[in-house]
Amino acid sequence: MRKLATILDELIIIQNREGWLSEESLRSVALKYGLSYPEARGCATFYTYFRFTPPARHAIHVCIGTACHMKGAEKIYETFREKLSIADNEDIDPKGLFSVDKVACLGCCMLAPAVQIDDTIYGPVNPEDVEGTIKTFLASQFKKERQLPVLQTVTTNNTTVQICSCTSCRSAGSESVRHAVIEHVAARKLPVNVEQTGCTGISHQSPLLQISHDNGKKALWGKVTPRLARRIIDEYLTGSTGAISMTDRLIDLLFTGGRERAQLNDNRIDSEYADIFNMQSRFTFAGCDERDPLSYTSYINAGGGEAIDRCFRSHSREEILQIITESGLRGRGGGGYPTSSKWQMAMQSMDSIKYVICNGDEGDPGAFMDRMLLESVPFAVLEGIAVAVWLLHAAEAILYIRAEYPLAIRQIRHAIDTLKEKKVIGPDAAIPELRVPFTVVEGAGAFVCGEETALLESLEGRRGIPRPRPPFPSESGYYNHPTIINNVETFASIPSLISNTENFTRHGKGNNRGTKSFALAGKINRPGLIEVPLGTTLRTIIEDIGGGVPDGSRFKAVQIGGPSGGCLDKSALDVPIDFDSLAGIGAMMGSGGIIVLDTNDCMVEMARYFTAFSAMESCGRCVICRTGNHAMTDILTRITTGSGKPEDLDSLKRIGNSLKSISRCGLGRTSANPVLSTLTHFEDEYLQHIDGRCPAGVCRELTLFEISDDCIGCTRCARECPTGAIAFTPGERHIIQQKLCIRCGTCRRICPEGAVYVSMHDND
Amino acid sequence: MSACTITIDGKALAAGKSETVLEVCNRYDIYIPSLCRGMGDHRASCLLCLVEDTKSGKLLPACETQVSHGMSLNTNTHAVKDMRTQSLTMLLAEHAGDCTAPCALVCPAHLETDKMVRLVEDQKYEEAAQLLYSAIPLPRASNMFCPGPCEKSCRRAEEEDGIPVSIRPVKDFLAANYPPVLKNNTADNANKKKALIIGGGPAGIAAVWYAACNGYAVTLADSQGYAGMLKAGIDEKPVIAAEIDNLVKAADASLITRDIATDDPLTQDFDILINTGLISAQMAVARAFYHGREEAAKVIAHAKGVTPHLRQKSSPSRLGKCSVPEIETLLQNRLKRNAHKTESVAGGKLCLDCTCWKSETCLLKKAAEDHKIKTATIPRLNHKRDLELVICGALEYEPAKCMRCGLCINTAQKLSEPYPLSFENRGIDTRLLFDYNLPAPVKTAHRIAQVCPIGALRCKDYGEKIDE
Repeated sequence: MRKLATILDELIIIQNREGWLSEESLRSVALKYGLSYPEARGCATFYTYFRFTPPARHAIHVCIGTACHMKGAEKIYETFREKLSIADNEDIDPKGLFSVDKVACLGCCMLAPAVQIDDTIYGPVNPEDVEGTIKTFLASQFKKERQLPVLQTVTTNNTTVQICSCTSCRSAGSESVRHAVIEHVAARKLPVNVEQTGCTGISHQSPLLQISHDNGKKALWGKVTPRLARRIIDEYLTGSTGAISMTDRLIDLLFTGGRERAQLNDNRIDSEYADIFNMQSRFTFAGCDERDPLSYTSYINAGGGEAIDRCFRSHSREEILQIITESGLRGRGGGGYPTSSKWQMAMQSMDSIKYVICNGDEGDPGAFMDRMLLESVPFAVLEGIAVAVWLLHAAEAILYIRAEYPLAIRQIRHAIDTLKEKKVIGPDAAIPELRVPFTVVEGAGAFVCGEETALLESLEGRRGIPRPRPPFPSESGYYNHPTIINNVETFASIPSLISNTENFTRHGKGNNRGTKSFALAGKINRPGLIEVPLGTTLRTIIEDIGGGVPDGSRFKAVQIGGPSGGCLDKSALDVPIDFDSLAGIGAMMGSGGIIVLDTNDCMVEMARYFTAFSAMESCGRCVICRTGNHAMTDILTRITTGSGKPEDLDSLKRIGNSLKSISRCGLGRTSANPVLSTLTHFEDEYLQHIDGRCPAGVCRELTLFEISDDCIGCTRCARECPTGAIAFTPGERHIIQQKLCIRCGTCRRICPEGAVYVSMHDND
Repeated sequence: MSACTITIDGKALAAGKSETVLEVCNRYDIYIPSLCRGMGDHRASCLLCLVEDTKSGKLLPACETQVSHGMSLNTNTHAVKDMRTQSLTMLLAEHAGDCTAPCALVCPAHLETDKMVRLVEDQKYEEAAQLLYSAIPLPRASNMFCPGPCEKSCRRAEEEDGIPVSIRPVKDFLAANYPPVLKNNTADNANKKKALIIGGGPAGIAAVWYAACNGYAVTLADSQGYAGMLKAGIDEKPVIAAEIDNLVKAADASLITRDIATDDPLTQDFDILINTGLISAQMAVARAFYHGREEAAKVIAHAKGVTPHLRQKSSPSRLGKCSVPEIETLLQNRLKRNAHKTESVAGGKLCLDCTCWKSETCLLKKAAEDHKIKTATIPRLNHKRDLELVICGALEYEPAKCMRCGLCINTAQKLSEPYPLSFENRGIDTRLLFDYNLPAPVKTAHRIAQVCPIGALRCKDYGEKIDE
């Protein structure tokens, strides 16, 4: 716990323990911290993490992040409510078993649409999977934890089975794969090590299993199931099928037609992904897919810890700062402010108490690189922070991480404990400057707290309302002391930057040096996490690394930077992506989410989604952001429901431009970007909506689904239709009764013949 | 305090280091619209006091921006005005409440209907009647023509039964029981200044009453006598005649039964001349009353050398159409405020008291009028309006009107005995949160309500006297 623990810390503990904050507990906590009840409740109600009514036994959180939204999260939410028969003004089912709510982003964009039940993430969950998901969850409650056998570590001539342990792989089932592997290896008494690794970034193939030998030979499989994992170990490690039991082979042959055998080859993806890795430049993520993220030894073996060494032994503070200045490192959180200027300003301050804060409040829907860094390279992040602590003689280092990232919080806490044990940081640290506390603080769910001054308010236990600037946090920040606040990715790049400056500066050019990681999602063949040099073109990212848009649709636009960023059309494909170029074309780096949109995505709906997000997340201080975003959402809703007017576009531009020029914080200033950029590049589409047509077939009120002659009468659509709008007529062409149809698109998605098409509304 | 120099609108001004731009501007009488008036160490919220930094072109809120040496600002560029208008529009968009009640807003005679009904509810009939005569000197006559826009626009008519507050019956009741009386009519007619009114139509009669009320000895000139045309169209002539008689007697007016031109030598005998002959005879009676009064007011003000002061009807903020549950909420609010008043005098429905209690002194209303915001340009938000009145001790709070500036919270904290107050929720759902176990003492409540720039907070016991 921080030296100056706040009411928020305590409220999170109570929320986790009791599931809600009662008036009684709020009053007692308020008393403890010398606050009034209105202050305590006022502070708590700012954050979405807290509940103020008694909870159900299990909480279902439906992710409405960008990627999930595009794949119909709204519909999933409604289906959950319907299946659990939750009344309109309630959020708990009548039995009190489940509560359902929406959550800004779970950071599992490649699993979209994703749903979290208690601590487990499920995905993709489509409307027809909702019932199954609930059942699976309930079944898992009764499963007993099995005792895993302890494996002997093999040291010579070793072979290692590595299983990715990031959140996306875990939610795809990597834990059960790992358990199966451990049990299998123990049963077979094989001389191999089994370990977890950090994120490879190819999350759409999760869970991943890699077998690597000492001699550098490697083999990688994707979409591994426990059965397949056992088979891989048998066939690949023992080299014969002899080890596989007769029964297993028979089951495979009889029931799956030998599919498992085929998967052994089909799911092997190392040759394909070798190319993709070669196209990237992994710098902050370098080597994390090769080692256990929580093993300090392997971090040191891979060259970690050198930055701290240099700080301590060979370099003066000025020299280290000089290295950072010359590298031209800019903050990776979105704004792109030069890191060294912040640090220098804080170093020069005469104040004897200074702080270092790592901003891990990654709230952008559609971005998850911070979470991946915290999970996969926790030691690098901590080393970066340690360098800053040493430079500043800081009194404390604080990591502010969203409470929605439980694994990241667990990993980083574990890593801090390890570093304390190894006497790198903490009270017994070898370097005197590092004998300070490293504290993890959970952020309670407010997008605006990603703004650094709002984050400070939140850390001091208040409502996250941004402060006026100047003074900047580097002059007067946490409890009015000079404070360095940087993004996770910025800190993660510090160690390698100091130990190998050349490796950093050779990427990018001019003011935009180094690499940047992006979360790639949307209508793309290989979504996931990538890291490329600044200045890489979007074309390279989307077509070469991401494998282009899936067959059957065409690329339309790309959305960069979430609610602060903009939509770019194909004319921007060849622009080198860096901080300055993006700002020049009306987008923003944001924290680096890239969502690819194809012809089936509606740009107006996209703009509406982001504006509604900003309206919901506005802190409520400036009128233009609080009300302007609402007014824009209303206009956009009108347009997407077919009652837009041509003059609405002028209103949008007017409100958007005022947001840009007079909002007092970064969230407000950039919140109009999605609207303004789509108005620039896709004004046609707005006008088509005003004419009563949604060319992408997304906006329900402007769309009709019909079934063409390709229908084979299989009745799948009739069975899955949630409103019974399709009559059960086996063998005949199905017909949609438009009066009952709610345009959920389930039939279109499941039709094996692709016979469901979007027809346009007639205006008369 | 080390001084520095800043430039505002091209003028170099001396300023203290820790001052805000707004403080400096106030000191030098440079007009900057501001709702929070720069009080407290708050964070800019309304974005009305924007000024432009000439170097960067950035717009900064004057209340929050600290001066620094060499700063150069403009306070009235096009961009500044544009953005101030935009902020105001947004403030009004989320501000759900009527500045002036619809009944008063629509009255063509500009009768302060809302005030009259309230006086009647308080059983101050005499006062109510005189208020009525000041706008409608012949209430019973006008009732015969009046289509009752006040009743049509009444919010209670939006209820399922469609019955409004009975305003016209109230007027009849007052006219029948309380004749017009000239207040402070002490001076002898001979000592009074003399006014000649040309034209005996409704406009002329309104002018007669207005001039008489302002202490003039009144003479009216018209070949057809008083209200000739008005009488012609009505069957119940005796009622009208009696009403006119009452008024003329009360005003102590004399009559010249011939038409007089403005250049007639006779006009030399009078101090002022009010010509209502040009006001169209086609005009509806109520409108004619207003125009006559307006004309009289102009002439009298000119004679006194002041600017005419007539209550301007304006309501930049309006509640708009309400749903039935919303009306129910408003009625509950009204009952919460005065639980003992359950019905109006004429046996009709209870008035909702739509007019904002701070309508006269509201800073937001004033700013909206100054910036000429048109009600039509204010977007109506598709957001559930929180119309319920919150009462905590002596404090009454209307969330739908609150502009979330936080002045009340800051003020409450700085009192010698701080009172706990905070915002809850965020974004557009932000609202004040009270501790119901700890209602504010009346003195504290008064102080807190006083700082509210608009009518969102009021202190029960002080009511309307609050801003005196």
